[in-house]
Amino acid sequence: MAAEVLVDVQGLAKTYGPLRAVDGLTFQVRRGEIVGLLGANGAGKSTLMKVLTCYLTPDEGTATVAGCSIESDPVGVRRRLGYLPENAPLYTEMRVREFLDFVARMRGLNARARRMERIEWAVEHCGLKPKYMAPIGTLSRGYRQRVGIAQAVVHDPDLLILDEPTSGLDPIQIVEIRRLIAIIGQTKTVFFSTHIMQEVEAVCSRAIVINKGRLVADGSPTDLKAQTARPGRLVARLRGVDASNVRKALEGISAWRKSSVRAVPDQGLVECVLHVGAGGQQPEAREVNAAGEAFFAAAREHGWPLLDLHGEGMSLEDAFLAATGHAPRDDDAQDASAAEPAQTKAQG
Amino acid sequence: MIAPVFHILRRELAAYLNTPIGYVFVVFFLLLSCSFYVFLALFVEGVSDMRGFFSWIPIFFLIFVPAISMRLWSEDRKLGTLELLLTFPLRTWQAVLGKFLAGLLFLALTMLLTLHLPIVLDTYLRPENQPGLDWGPVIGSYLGTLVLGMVYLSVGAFASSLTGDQIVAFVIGATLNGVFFLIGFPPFVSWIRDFSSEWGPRLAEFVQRFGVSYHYDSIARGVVDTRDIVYALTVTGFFLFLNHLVIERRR
Repeated sequence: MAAEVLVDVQGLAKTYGPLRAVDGLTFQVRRGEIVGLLGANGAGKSTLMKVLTCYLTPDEGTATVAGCSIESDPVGVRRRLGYLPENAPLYTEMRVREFLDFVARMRGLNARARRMERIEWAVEHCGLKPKYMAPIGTLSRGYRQRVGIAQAVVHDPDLLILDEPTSGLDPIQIVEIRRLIAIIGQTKTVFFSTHIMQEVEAVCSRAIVINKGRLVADGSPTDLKAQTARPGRLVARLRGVDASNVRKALEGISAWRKSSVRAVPDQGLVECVLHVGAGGQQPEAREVNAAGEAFFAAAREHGWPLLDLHGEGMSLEDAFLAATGHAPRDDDAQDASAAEPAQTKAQG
Repeated sequence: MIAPVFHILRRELAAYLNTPIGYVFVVFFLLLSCSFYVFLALFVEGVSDMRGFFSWIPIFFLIFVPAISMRLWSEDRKLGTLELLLTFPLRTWQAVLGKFLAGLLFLALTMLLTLHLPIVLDTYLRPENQPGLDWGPVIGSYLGTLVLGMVYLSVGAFASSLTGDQIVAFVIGATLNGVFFLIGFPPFVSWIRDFSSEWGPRLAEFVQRFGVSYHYDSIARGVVDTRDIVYALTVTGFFLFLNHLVIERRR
């Protein structure tokens, strides 16, 4: 069943001087979806959200939110959405109660009974009861973020736009905010930005990846992973062998592009990582299989006790890096492992 | 249409009343203006009317009003709440008007606190067998301070919209207001007049009409002339329009 299109973005572009922060984006969000907007810092996530909430006007393209055009009916658009700007700006001298009351009034909840009911709902769902009367200036970062989300949902909007709702929070707070987003997402359409991959895996039904203002990937988190899921490297663990011998033996084999070997002394293990295929590309399945066979042959030849040999797929993070045109992570891993052998030698 | 203006007005007024800085300015202003007046008018000049007090108001306001208006937009820009405010379902002019009116109301409340001066003057300091205070000019003068406050506040609000730094907003506001004060200030006007016997008087006559004191003095005399009201409304409207323009430009 195709739900109603709630957000319809057509060729949106926004330029700051020479910088095209958003560069021709086109996508749709349907009612009931939880969509994660992924991108590195400066990819254009916040700009896109500012345009959708009619804080900024686009230079090109159009968008509609719940049938209202951001150009001809910005007030209508804003009436239908709740928005948490980046860093959750709040009036710090107000108490939580006063602030939510102010926002509710601004959002057109004029009837007192209805306003009270909605404020209570938001306070309840955002876990703000203990801080209801506290001045916002005295709240911790996590609570401020909750106040920010509470003000965005207080008027029961069709669409919730959250700009990096979990940035700057500690891991426990992050989990709590994600849970909150998931709960709100059961009844609302949520469009939120993040640069944390697990967040998208944890709460989203769909991820949109943008880079330099352009859309580079769009699909469910599993789709996104599947697109890039073929193993890019093999990992093997050996016991009771000398790491430098293994390193020497593996260097001569051409089945992989690069191998890195490091000792894990406290477990008595040696871990080998084999990077397969040309750098920056997905290896063919055939190449991966050939590398596995070659490694097994080497282990048998040298009599290494092989504990484990497996392929490692890309994490969503790798998929994200690949999609945004950054080098896949294995190059970073090489740098890290290149530094490590010296360290382990010193210990041994 | 008017509801959002009212909500903004309410919040901004509460912000004045809930932060210590607002009270600091008010106390400072009251101490300065009242004690100055009491000292000057009663002991030095021995005059028992309010003229001395009101003639100094344009100068005290030069500092006090920009101190009130400096936070109106700068604070929102600094805190990032401007983004929150401008993504509420309201039009920019409603925010501009709400903030301006909150400042004006706060100013009016402050001026109410100076009412003890004429009351004391009328009740206790009246010389024997003399008629009481002439309330007409006093009421006119209070109206005049509001008109003056309107002009200064709109200039200050515009200055505040230009920057995220309240101190910078204060300096810009005070400077612009200083210009408006100066071009109607009698010594300055006569200085222009004396420039040339040929065009000096005409230029002075022309320039002083743009000055705020020219119109303030005329209202303070108790003569409420529509021209003075039109002047105040025009200048206020112009700067609020500029204020609106600055906010809209950021989109």
